[in-house]
Amino acid sequence: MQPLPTELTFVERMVKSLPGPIPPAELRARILEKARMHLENQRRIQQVRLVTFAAAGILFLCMLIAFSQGIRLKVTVLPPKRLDYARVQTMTRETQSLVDEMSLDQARREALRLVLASL
Amino acid sequence: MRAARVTNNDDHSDITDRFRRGDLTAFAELYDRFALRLYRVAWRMLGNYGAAEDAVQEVFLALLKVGARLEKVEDVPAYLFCCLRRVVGRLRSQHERYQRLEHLAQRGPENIALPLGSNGTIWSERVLQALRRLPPEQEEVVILKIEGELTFAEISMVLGISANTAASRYRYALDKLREDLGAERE
Repeated sequence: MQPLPTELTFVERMVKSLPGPIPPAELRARILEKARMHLENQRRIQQVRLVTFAAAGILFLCMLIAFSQGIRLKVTVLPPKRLDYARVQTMTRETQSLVDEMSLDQARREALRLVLASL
Repeated sequence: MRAARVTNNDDHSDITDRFRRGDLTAFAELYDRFALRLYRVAWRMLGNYGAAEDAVQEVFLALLKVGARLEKVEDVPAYLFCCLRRVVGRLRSQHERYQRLEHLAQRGPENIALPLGSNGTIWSERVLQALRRLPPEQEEVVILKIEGELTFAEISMVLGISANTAASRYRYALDKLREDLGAERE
């Protein structure tokens, strides 16, 4: 950049010497107050975000544990055997025919006991 | 130009680092460093104290929103004045819209008034009037150079022109001012 000639530096000095306003002190206070509030909000938002992430992580972990335990139970624990009512009926009839004085209730109870014992 | 940028950034790197970490005192330091220049440029461009205050406030609030991304900014003063220019443009158009609605043909009395303090003279008023008669692009360069205390490299970044164009606009503006004021004196 070439230096300005003398007559132009004079004009420059004149423009520089124009009085200019000074920002009021309230403006500084107002802007700094807004900045403080903004930073506080940011901090709060960050905290909330952190807590949300932690909660989501814990929830995910719980779901993973529950799912894996469910799978483990399904694989390792055998389902209970079902009671065969037709067999109970047949055995009731057979027991009653074998023992003359036995009532129907007694025969059914005996048959049920035998079937349950065989499971 | 590159070297100037690096030096300039180094000047503010400590403050901007602290500001990015959420240090409010760093923000206050940034305000103390740039507010006066920004305010004067805004006032010269808008010609209104209230609007100038609004513009400066908006610039600093925008800076807050930028926050951690400030490290990507190459030149902090140029960035701030770029923001200011955008805000001033918006405020100007808002003001014009408002004026149209209110059927106000002229600027308010505050717009023309100079804050004539102890050093304020009629001559200052003449210089100011001559400044206002400059083409807008030249006036902008003069304001950014003198009130904003920006280098031509920074002005070039703010206005999106080359540094040489900024320098020549400045020179033409001073030439015009010299002619204008010389004619008035005669």
